[in-house]
Amino acid sequence: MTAAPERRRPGRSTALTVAMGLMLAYTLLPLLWLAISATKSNQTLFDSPGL
Amino acid sequence: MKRGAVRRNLTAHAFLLPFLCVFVIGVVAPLVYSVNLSLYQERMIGGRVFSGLDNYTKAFKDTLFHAGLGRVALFFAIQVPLMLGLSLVAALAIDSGRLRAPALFRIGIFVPYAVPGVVAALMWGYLYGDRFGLAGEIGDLLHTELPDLLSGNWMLASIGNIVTWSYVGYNMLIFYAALRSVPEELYEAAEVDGAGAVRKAFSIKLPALRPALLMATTFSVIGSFQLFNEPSVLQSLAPAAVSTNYTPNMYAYSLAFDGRQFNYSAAVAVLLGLVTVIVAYAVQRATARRERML
Repeated sequence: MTAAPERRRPGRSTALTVAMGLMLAYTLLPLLWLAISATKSNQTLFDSPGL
Repeated sequence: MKRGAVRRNLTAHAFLLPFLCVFVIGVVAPLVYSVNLSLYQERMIGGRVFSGLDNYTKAFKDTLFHAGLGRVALFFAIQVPLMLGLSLVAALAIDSGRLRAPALFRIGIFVPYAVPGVVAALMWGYLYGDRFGLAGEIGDLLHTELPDLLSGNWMLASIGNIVTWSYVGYNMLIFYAALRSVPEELYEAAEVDGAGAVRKAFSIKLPALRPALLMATTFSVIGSFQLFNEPSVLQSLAPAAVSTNYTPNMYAYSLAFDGRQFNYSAAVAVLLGLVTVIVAYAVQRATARRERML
C-alpha cells in the first residue's frame, strides 16, 4: 500500500519545468519591475534600466 | 411530531435570515431600484415621467452601446479561450508530478490574483509605455521600435493581457483543485487497463475537469461582458485610444456620471445584465448538450 504511489511517480521533466518557468516569469517579472520602480525617484525612473 | 417539524423549520429559517437580509439589501433592492429607474424619463417639461420601455428601445438602437457590446464579445471570444487554455496547461503540468518544485509554480502563478485589479492595470499601463516602461526598453534592446501598445489598434490586446495576467492563476487553481479530487484508484485502474499518460489525460482528467471548466467559463463570461476597471484606468493614460463607450459598463458609467442621464444609464445597465445572463446560459446549454452526446 505504501509502496504503490512511489512506484507510480513519473520522472521529473526538465523540459516541462523550463516551459512552466516561462509562465512563472510572465506572472512574476511585472511585480519585480513594480517593486524595483517603487524604490526609485522620479528622475531615476527615466535614467536607470527598469529591471 | 408535527410541532417538532415546525420548530425545525423555524430554526432553519432563522439561520437563513441573516443571509436573506444581506441578499435583499445588497442584491434585490438595487436591482429593483435600477429597473424602476429605467422605466422613467427626465423631461424638460413635465419633469420625471413614466415612459415604459422607451429607454430600452432607445438602447436597442444605440450604436454606441452596440460598439461596446461588440468589443467585449470579441474580447470574450479571443481572451477567454487563451486564458483558460493557459490555466488548463498549468494545472495539468502541476498535477502531473513531473515538475521540480510544483508548490513554487502553484503559488507563483497565483500571486497576480492577489494584486488589486486597478493596481494591475496601472502597473501594466506603465509597463506598456515607451518612456520608462519595459516595452520601450525591450525595443531599445532589439534596436527596433515596438508597436505602441497603448494605441487604438493594440488597446484591446493590451487589456486582454492584463486580464489574462490577473486571472490565469485563479483559474489554474480551480482546475488544479478539480484534478486533485480525482481518486488515485482511478489512475491505477486505468494503468491496469493499459492506459498511457495521454489516454489518462483524455479519459480521466478532462471529464473530471468539465464542471470546473464550465464554472470558470461562466465567471469569464461575466468578467468579459462587465469589463470596466482595466479600460477605465488605461483611459487616463491613453484618452485617445479608449472612448467613453469602450465597454458597455463604461458607457453606462459615463452616461450616469458625465451625462447625468441616470434613467437611460439604468436601462443600459439592465440590458447589459440581461445579455450577460443570456450568454452565460447559452454557454451552459452548449456544454450540457455536448455532455449528453458523449
